[in-house]
Amino acid sequence: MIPLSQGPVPATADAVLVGGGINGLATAYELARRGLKNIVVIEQNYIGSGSTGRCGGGIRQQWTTAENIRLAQESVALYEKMSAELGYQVFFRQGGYLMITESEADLPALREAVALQNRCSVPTEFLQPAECLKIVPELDVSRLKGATFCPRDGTAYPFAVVWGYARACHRLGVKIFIRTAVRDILSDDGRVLGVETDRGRISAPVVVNCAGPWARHLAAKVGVELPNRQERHEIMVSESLKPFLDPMVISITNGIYFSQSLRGEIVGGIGDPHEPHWQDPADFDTRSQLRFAVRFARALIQLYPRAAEVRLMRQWAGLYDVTPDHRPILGGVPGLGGYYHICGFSGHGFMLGPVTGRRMAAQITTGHPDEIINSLSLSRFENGDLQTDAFVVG
Amino acid sequence: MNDNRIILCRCEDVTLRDFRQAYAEGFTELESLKRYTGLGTGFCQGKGCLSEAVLELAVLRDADPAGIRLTNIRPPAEPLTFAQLAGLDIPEHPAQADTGEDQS
Ligand SMILES: Cc1cc2nc3c(=O)[nH]c(=O)nc-3n(C[C@H](O)[C@H](O)[C@H](O)COP(=O)(O)OP(=O)(O)OC[C@H]3O[C@@H](n4cnc5c(N)ncnc54)[C@H](O)[C@@H]3O)c2cc1C
Repeated sequence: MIPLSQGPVPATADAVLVGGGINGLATAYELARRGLKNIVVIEQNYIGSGSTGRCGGGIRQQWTTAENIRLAQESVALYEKMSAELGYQVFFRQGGYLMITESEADLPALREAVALQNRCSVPTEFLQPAECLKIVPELDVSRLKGATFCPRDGTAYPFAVVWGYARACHRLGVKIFIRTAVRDILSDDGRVLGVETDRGRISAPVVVNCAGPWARHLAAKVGVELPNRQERHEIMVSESLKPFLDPMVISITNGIYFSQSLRGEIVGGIGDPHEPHWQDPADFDTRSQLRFAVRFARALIQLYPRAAEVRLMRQWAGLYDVTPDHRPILGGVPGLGGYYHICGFSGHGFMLGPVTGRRMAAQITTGHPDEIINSLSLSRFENGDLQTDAFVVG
Repeated sequence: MNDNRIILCRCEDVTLRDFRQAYAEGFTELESLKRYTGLGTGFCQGKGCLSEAVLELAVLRDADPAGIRLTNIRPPAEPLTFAQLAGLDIPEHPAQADTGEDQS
């Protein structure tokens, strides 16, 4: 069951997490597991209503920086145990990820990525186009130049993941309020004092900003300037088909990705360099466009001609919260004790949420420095410590 | 009548009992009920069941149905094949649409 707290918000808490997406809920769960009491999660809409519930559910370890590979690897280890640990079926399935390219010029980078991933014990292999047919028999490989495949990558059902975390949170005493908005973060003398919600004030020494695309707006309330911008990304599902597709297929050439859900639907999207981006929530536009459906359909048929007669059932849009180097922003800020943010996932926060929640909860409760959180801190943009992963796709 | 034999969503075979049970499990929002039970996600995309679901939700909440928000209605209005979509004369880039130039 999804236990939601009723009645007024409590006057005090030990920690308030803003946002009922994967990051808010995973972090609340991990804090509670470490023994923190009186944890409150505030969600302005319903659970999973932000990016999490709109996402493709893809989880991959095929990255080109050691940091991303390590985070993704830790996350996959958590996803592998998640249904058992949370006591909730999250439909995690390791059908692998097949990353394809139509460009000869990409091949050295693909081979290099495979070598790095293998050194990190991720079992990725390089495939010639014809070898892809062993994994996706009806793929049109005529334009492909090469591919990489990791059989341990996969997908999970995003809503089940947030419901599972919510349930586990409830067992540990976390209070979750939906349809409640945080209007302001209160601070004084360099310390966080709590939050002001539309249903009353909560005093708390720790406030964690997990507001996804709205994190920049919220951080500004306490003078924290995030460089994040928000982009619309569209996605769709088809009618249900009998199982025919094991992996997620993703093209680094045009950004199309598609997988098959356990309900049998093709779930997929395609990146679009022509989409606008915003920073002010008043401008956010998550309406669907026919243009997306047409672009996706053309790209899908090109790669998988048999899909031509399959029907598209439903399309929707969500926001990526994008940082200048496409890496998340984690940790706190100097001079504002008790304030933390977990945001800026740039389109891959569903696959990282379990591990960023775990590492951040450890940092918040123990204060021990965490090498990865440090390297992902906001101050990197001042220090110019930027390194972009070459496999930001979709 | 037995609520296990009343079908609320015909496309996805969701019974009135499924719906009530999901509500009792804490899925109190129509958006969440849709994702949990599958209601409204089949061929008719909710045209045949969403209004019934709202009425039932109003009973469960003991509230006025007029105050219950429908789920977001997603395009397309009718399912279309990828071939039909791919054949539409829609430019791939918004800039092309804006200039009105014939790209073909
Ligand atoms: C189309 C699409 C496909 C994607 N595919 C993938 C994928 O395959 N794999 C992957 O890893 N990632 C994917 N992503 C990215 C992924 O969805 C996000 O990175 C991730 O869900 C972020 O989770 P979050 O919890 O940080 O934010 P969110 O899920 O956005 O949660 C933030 C929550 O905060 C709430 N909130 C905001 N402001 C306030 C406030 N003031 N008061 C109270 N509540 C507030 C919002 O309502 C929201 O529910 C995709 C994204 C999109 C849009």
